[in-house]
Amino acid sequence: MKRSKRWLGLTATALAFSLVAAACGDSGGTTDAAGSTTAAPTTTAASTPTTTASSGGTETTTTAAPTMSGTYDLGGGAVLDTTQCPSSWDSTQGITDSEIRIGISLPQSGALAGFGTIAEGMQIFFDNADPIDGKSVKIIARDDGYESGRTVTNIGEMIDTENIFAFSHIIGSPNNLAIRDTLQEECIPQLFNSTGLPQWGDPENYPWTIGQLLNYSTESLIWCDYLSKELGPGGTVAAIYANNDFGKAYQKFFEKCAPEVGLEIVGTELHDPNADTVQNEVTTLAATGAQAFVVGTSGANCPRSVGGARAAGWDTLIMVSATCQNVGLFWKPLKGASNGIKVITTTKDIGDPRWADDPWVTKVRADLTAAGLDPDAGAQQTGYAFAEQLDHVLREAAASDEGLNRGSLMQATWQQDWVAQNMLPGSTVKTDGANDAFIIEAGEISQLAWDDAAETGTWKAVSDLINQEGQLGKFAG
Amino acid sequence: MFLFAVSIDTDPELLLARILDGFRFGSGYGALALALVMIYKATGVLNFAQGELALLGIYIAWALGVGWGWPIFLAILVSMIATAGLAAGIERTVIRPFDPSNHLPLVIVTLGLFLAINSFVAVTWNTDLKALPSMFPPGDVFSVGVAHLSWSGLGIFLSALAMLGAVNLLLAKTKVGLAFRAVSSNLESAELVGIRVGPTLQFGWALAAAIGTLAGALLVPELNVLDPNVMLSTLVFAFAGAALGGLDSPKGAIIGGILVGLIRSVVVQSVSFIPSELSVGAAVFVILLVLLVRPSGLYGSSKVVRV
Repeated sequence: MKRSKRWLGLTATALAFSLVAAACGDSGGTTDAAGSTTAAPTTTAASTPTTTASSGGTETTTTAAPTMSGTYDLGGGAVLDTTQCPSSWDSTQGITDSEIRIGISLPQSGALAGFGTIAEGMQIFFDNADPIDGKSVKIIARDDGYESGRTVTNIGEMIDTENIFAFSHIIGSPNNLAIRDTLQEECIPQLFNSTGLPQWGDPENYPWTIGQLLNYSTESLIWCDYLSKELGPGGTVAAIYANNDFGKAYQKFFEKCAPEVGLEIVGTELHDPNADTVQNEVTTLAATGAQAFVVGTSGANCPRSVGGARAAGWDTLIMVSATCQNVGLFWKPLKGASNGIKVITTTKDIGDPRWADDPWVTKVRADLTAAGLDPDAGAQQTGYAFAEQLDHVLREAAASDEGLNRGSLMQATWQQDWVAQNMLPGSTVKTDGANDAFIIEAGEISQLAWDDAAETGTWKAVSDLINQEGQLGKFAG
Repeated sequence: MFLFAVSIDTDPELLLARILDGFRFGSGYGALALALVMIYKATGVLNFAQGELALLGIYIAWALGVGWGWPIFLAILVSMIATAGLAAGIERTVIRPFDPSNHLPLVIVTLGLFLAINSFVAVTWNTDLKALPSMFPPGDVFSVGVAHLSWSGLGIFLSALAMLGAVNLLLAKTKVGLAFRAVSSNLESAELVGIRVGPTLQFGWALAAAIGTLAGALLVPELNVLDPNVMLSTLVFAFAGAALGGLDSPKGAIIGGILVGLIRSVVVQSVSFIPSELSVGAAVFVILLVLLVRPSGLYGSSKVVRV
């Protein structure tokens, strides 16, 4: 007689499955935005006209537009040098006779799948926009489940087979970090990363990459400033962060600024972004009785954190990441339990009656409705707003002396000065290379007012616009 | 030096809160583990699609309860029947054709079902976050400081016990239960005494799907949000609970699930040197420990074979 090995085999299988599940993905952030450019083309155009042999994709025709090569002054001493690009590089790759092909990798599955419809929203914007140089903008999306390894694979595949001109609004800090060096070497624009890592404001070292969201350093500073005023000297704060680059960026900046303004951090928990609940971590934090609860996480973990605080009976001021702004996406499940939470908003909430007659909001609602969507649900509205930024730089680059190519696009991106319709009044979109490397630099503290009858909530401003335009400079390391 | 780095929270209110959290979530894991155990008892296979069958049931309940405005009890009951019917169909079409003694193809089939059902749910109901209403009233039975025993927490615990009682009663007192036990005990002998093995196993699949759907419907409101990913992250803890309790023991499933919930809420949170972000890792550790020390779990039967 001997003990059967069946138990061993099956339990080992279960273990393997658990390990796979535990290893799946991270969490991170996203949300609003907008911005774009006024081109100040200063190009040394050592043009070498070549006809591109665009590969793959749904359309393979290419224009005979000249391929420009040279250096571009991005501002503040930052320079884009296209002479260092690979020999096969073509500055108009991905621009066909009829399309400008833009790639995006984002989570359409996994813990942050709620952001997956951003690409659809971007496409709806461009479907309703005038052509650029007679061409439509085509958004090509790939699901990465918020796993940076899959982002790398997606980007590689899209470069090889989808005839991509530029990437835009890729979601997630770890995801964008994982592809930054590759796109830098390949000289392919990586525009408007949908994350707030300050690293995106580094045009001297990474001229092909720029972020868009309010950066986490600035967001943390505004939290510190607001909480110190609300709670007074010695105010106590507990915080939960996602255990990844995104959450740890918040942790780093908040733990730096809190003591400087007299706040005491009485509890900190990191959570597994893929766990099913954060209740255990929040219960521990609730026991501190802190006067404020900072939620430095994203996706489903936003409502989970707030729901956890409510379940623990923790009556506290809750400040959530700006990536959790979308009411329909994150707060509808919690309903009234989300009432009173605070966030830094940078864009117009299209459900807010304050903007009912705003031309931008009216257009967003009309276009999303015409596409058969509920404008108040899902992340399409976020994608629609994102697209305004991309649209602007594409048009600016197209209007430049040399027309639309990857170099002129980056110059237009790093030299912006305009007012985006989706942003709060008083905000401006300005960039100037290394002098001003961040796009969104203004926001207001807003509080969620949940309406039980309407089953929706709106953000109500509880502060004036806090505008740090031009004060943030560049990434300081 | 290492010992000096270890500290344990001793605040009694916080400890009570953690215990209550552990029971609240652990009862849900235990109920889902019960569904895993039913399939395992019948077939000797771990059904990786169990969580996704429950997910489908939860979305059906959501569609009926929230979309169509049905009472949530009725919506869940109908979704349990629907997933039971679906599971019976799955057993007949994609499980039964395979040799029941060869487990590897069956495991692969359940992995395939896992992906297929998950994708179907995501395509049908999209990936937006939703909320499944709780069957229990809001509010607390009692609270002490940060410790809250909510009606839903108590309700999940009692429901898990009721499910265990019902399963035991079914297996002990009914003809189909007897047939199920016979097939579980010895498939070949059961067949030789005239038990129709196929339909009996089909019954096991249907029962497990209904149990899983109810378990999910109990647990998901406590997780605040419903999305297509929710049961994947939950299933890991259910597996750990089933392994800990013993893969062929219904009682072990419930107790194992609750223990996993408590390990996660009390041990991981209380002991300072265990990072709290390792909660999923704790489940994996439990499985590993059971595998090494007591492969049959706390209440499972040690199988012996003739050599």
